[in-house]
Amino acid sequence: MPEYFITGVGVVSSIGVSKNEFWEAINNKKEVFSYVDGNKICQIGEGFLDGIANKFNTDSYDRSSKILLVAAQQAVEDSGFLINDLNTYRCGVSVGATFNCLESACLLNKQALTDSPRFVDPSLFPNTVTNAPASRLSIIFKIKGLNVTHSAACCSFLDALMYGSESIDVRGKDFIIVGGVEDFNENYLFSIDKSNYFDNEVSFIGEAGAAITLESSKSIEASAKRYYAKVIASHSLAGKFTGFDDLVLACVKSMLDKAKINSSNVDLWLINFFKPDVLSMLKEKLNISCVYSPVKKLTGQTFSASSGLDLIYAIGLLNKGSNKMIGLINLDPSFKCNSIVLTK
Amino acid sequence: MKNTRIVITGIGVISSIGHGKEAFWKNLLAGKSGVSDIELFDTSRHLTHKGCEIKKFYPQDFISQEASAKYGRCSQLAMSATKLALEDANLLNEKLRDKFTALSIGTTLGEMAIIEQINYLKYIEKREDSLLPPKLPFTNLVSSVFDEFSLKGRTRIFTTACSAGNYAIIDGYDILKKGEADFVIAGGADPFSYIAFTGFNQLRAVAPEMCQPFDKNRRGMMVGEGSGMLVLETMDSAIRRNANIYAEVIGGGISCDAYHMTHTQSSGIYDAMSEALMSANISYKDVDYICAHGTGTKYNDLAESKAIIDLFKDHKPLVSSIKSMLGHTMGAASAIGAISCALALKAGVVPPTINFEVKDPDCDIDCVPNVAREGNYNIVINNGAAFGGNNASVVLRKIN
Repeated sequence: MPEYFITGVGVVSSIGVSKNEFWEAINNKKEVFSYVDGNKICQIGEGFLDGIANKFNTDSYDRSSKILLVAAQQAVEDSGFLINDLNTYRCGVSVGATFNCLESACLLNKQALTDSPRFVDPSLFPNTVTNAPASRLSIIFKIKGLNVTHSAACCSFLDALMYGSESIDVRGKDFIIVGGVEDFNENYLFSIDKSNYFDNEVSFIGEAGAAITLESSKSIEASAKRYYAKVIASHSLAGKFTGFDDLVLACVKSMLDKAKINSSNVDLWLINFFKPDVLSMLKEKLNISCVYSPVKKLTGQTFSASSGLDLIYAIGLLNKGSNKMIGLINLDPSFKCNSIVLTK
Repeated sequence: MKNTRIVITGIGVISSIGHGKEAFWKNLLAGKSGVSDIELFDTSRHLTHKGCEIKKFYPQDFISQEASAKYGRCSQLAMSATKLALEDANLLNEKLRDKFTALSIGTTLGEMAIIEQINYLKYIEKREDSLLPPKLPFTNLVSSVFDEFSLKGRTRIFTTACSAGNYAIIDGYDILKKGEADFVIAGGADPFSYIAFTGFNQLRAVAPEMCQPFDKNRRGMMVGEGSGMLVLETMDSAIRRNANIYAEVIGGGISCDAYHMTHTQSSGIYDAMSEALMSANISYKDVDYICAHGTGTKYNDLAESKAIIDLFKDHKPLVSSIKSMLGHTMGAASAIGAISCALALKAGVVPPTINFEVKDPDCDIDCVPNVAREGNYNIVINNGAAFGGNNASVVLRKIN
């Protein structure tokens, strides 16, 4: 299986707005939260995004576009990759985003219903599409290769990462910005809250942007540059298995087969949902001792950004030198499993 | 794997001009318009009042009662079109149970109609309905299809707005080429949306009476709804199963304008078509027909015409816009376009651009005005363009 190299990292979250702040915050178990109508919320610091609007002239951008833009800019700068007219078609953007469009859509909807459809602010409309944050990355960074948005809630970021890898492999791309973003969104919170998804203890809502730059081996060799980690294998599986345990088992086994490694070669396994039955099964069947990722407990549930934050946390661990190989298991708890393995 | 050939063996469509390939194709060739007065919501305070709604869509005709009740209209459309496609490919009745199926669906708004219902209750009727929020997640779009047809494999949801259907087809093509799936179900779905209708009206992009792509006096698009799903598999698999093959998918191109959220650039469409031709390893001179994005707006049609003229130079492939009949079905548009292309190759006739009256000298293309045209068509391109400058083109070839 071809390898893909992570060369840049960017993160904007409630506990840190740069990679170092983020890694330090996790080490220190930093929590930043507030309550809105009794709901526990992890929000990015007030005022932080205002400065961004001035810098990039992004007044009309929705909150998710701004968050992702900052994370992506950090990642691109960190990578040292220069996007120009000669390489723009070999660059791409692959982003996970799911609920980001709801705020603008609901605002437009409300204006139309309570005032008049003819009084709706037309500048809201472009923000009602889920691909607005990804498209704006291409506009700001002048990236004319592919631009893709994936909407798979908690599985979105790894879907975006796998698509980015395939674009390097199949479509000859050299440099992909892979991102994931969600913003705190009252409309979403109050919609989903009714189904008791959040409990303010284990599960509460957050917002974040996570971005990495993914490069081909050709690009790495040409520039002899340093990288944070290699993605050596990934796999995605969904649907009707005997049970959800079997789906997760099949997914992780397939990923290990692709990587041509045993589960024991992996120093640390991180999982994004605390499901005791899945953890027991992985221990029993594959001798995998999974650790529930500490990220979500600090940042809240950030959906499309969540597996990006886990990945960036794993990159931090790899670069501290305590682990040489880390596996991520990313669940949509009723339906789908994504798994990848990273190595230094 | 490079030599693996990918073919279309199943087609399912739900549209304002008919459900199922027979009704859809018959009406498309006849130039039937799907435009009507909008009935799903009150348009008395909007600037325009017409659209391409599906008037008679009863999901229970296609899917289980349970699925019909559990999911929103977008998922219902996707499940229904999938049912038709699987039936057409002779893959129903759990024939895919032990196969690895990759499902790729494109959508613009997903279940936004559910949000619209929630907001209507909240702001107008001052009440709530606890049954609505569980129907909201985008992921329902794929989990509903996998559940309803007992599938397992891989799922992807592309939300690249109005070109999302083509992204899904290209994704399916790629995974089959790599040998990582037995079958692919790819396409798109979008329901009629109050938010989209209002937004496009406020951008002054909606025509009052009819959609007239490439016409000098065109006044805009028609908002529509629908779903188109295709079954893809390798040529070897299709031959083994003795499947009915509609067409071969031979390439796809993806590009981004990197310019503006709503102003389409001809260069981006040019790039997507150009990459598609390269990936198919063919010359522009080989292309007989283009199923245009062709929304009927001033700027989109101008940009697309320029891209076609720039890329195809003295070669003049036929170009038509089925949106003149179906309206703009958003994330389903390019998937339905691909279905139209596959049927055109099989039948040797391309659908017309209806409502065409006056040639626009700035759109100097043969847009197959008003009447379908027979011919010996071998290679066609299906274009999709979208908000954010997300462009995707797919190339199909006739199977002899």
